[in-house]
Amino acid sequence: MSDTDLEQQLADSLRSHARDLLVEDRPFEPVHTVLGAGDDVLSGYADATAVRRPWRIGAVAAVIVVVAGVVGIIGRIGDGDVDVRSQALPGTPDDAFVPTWDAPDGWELSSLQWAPLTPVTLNGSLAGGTSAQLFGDPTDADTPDRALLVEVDGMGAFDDSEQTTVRGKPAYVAPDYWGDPDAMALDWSETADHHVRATYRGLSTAEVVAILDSMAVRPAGVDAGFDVPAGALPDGLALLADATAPPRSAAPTEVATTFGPHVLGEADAPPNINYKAIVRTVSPTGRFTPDYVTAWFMAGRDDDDVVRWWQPAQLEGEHTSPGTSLLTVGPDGRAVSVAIDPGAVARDGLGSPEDVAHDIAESVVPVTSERLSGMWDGLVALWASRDLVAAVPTSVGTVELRGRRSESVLCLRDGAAVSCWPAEHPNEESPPDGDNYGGQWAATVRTDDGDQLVAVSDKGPILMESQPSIFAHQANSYPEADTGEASGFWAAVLPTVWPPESLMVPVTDVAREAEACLNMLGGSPMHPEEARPQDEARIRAAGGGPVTMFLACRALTDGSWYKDVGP
Amino acid sequence: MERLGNLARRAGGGSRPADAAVAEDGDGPASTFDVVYSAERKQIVRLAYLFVRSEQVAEDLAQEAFVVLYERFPIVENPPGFIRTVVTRLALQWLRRHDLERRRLVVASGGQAATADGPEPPDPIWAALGRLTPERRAVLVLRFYEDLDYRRIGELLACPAATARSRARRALADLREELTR
Repeated sequence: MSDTDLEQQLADSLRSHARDLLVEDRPFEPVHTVLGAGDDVLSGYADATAVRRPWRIGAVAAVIVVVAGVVGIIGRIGDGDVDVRSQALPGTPDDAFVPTWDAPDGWELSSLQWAPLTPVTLNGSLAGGTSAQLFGDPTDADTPDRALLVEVDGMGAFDDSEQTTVRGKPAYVAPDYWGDPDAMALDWSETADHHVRATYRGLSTAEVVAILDSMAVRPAGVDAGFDVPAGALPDGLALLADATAPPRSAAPTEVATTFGPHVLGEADAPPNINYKAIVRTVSPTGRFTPDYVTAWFMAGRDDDDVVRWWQPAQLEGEHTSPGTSLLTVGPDGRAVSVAIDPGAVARDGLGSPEDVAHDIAESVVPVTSERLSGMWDGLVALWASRDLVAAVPTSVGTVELRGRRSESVLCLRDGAAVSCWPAEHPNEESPPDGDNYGGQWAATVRTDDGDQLVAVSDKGPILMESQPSIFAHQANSYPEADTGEASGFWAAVLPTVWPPESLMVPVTDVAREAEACLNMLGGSPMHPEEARPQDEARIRAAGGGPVTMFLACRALTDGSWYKDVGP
Repeated sequence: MERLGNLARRAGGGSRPADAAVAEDGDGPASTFDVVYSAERKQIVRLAYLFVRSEQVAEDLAQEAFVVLYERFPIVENPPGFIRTVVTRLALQWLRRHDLERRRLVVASGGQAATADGPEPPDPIWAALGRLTPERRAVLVLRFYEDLDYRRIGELLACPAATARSRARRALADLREELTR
């Protein structure tokens, strides 16, 4: 059968079936038949001429641009080889996303599969072409929720079988980005067993490179290169090539000043903290944008500890408080709690950089591997404006904030640190709605539209938002939030970052909600009674506490049942 | 379908001004919601049916789409285009969820496929079309029933025209493969 014949038969069949359908006349009644339908189906409505005045539905969602994955370069200091176990992509419930991925020419996304506690896999095919970008355009207010998947510029390793994981090769890393004219070569290849081998040539020790999950799992053998065994990374985090080239408009010197060793290099590092590497991530769009960059600084006192300095910063405008650090992890999953930019502390009169370095050294909080893995519930995402400001692993945040002098503190404003509170003094700068939020602040994000306060407590991450435009939809889903019956705190534990709305729950009710979810799950049409023990066992096997349980349960129901059933 | 019936309902009438059913610029009877509803409803139901292959679901989705239009009617300049966009996306949402439920039910039932779709009619093209993924089925319906160009299909599916074209190409390939099984 020729293509023309097939197309003609298809058209005939469709018309025939449509024609045969008897549609009775029925008067219109303005009654919804599908809960929640409406706004979301308009997201991305592309026909700008279709409305007479701008409607803001998309803009609401536009505020919530989220990274579905973290992009990074895996590398090592100096010449040598780097082994990386490729990870599946972070992702989202397939119910939410399949049609939204923007496949480039030559690429076809056939499906996106996602299940709780397991990596996302992207099935697709590559039909020619050597470059691709598998993400949408978050700058488009009408299609804001097209989260970054991965940017691939260069060779895409692909096969057309099921369970294909997209991987990419950073075809180009601007050498001058790191201020090293010798950093010219980057070889990247994949082996049959899905190892990725990267060799960096000509990179000086101070200049870089790499990252891994961007969170807190330290790969074994940093000095020997990254070789992350399977399963070492929490679900939802990816080891992917950073194919993002810096903008040509960004002056290399400025970049270097901001992110290079001039900020926190060997010379500037606290005593006994050896500067190891700079890691940069990119904006939630997956593109390097001059107004949003996050840098990770890795430092280690010795081979046992790696301290990562997390520093959101801006390349344009004033570079404010350089460095709210967090997240450190020693070997074997031993988390190291840290905090506070040494310079900032010194300016506040709280101590010299050396003192802070001492604090850092003393503030190691042992965390068992089991606990660490079990607490990898997800990420707390902070947004400012339309950009994801930061994503903080909840478990680490929790660990960090527990009873530590250096706790706190992730305070951001449009990607730059603004203010912080020690947990013991949460009211040093009052939150928007008073002082009854207790301690253990993690962050606040202030935007032009309002304040969004994000806190992390020992109960888990808490997100209190007072920015209606961000979570208006969610607020509507929980009417009690408006009546004052709810605490006003919302857990925003995002196992794969997105979508937040399906994962919002009053933090005080996490445990109850988890149980309720499981109960509902067991009784839902989708999940008959016998399914629950399996599901529950699976979730518990992952080491989850209430938050994990809740999230996993929710995810098992594709993230949508909750809205259907209602709280 | 039963699931849809169980979904909570939102009353939409109270949230819009009384004159919302008439276009702002007063184009006359042709611009009223009722006129659009009368003119488009059957087509929209049929379009939804081609997506979801269930009369009842198609009716529900068409109703929902018209409610969306109803609530925004004063600001919608091209109601027929708007309603097609909405119903297409609603149908895709439903299909994805339905597909997910079906897959999970298959798992829960030990591999026995549970389907409420009923027997397929003796039309191999139609049957094969039903086995495609929602997105590919949708793109074929839009292309070969609605006769839309890829730019417009891309708008409806929130993807670039090139992507819509490649989806259609892949969908046809899949359809051909299904027909040979």
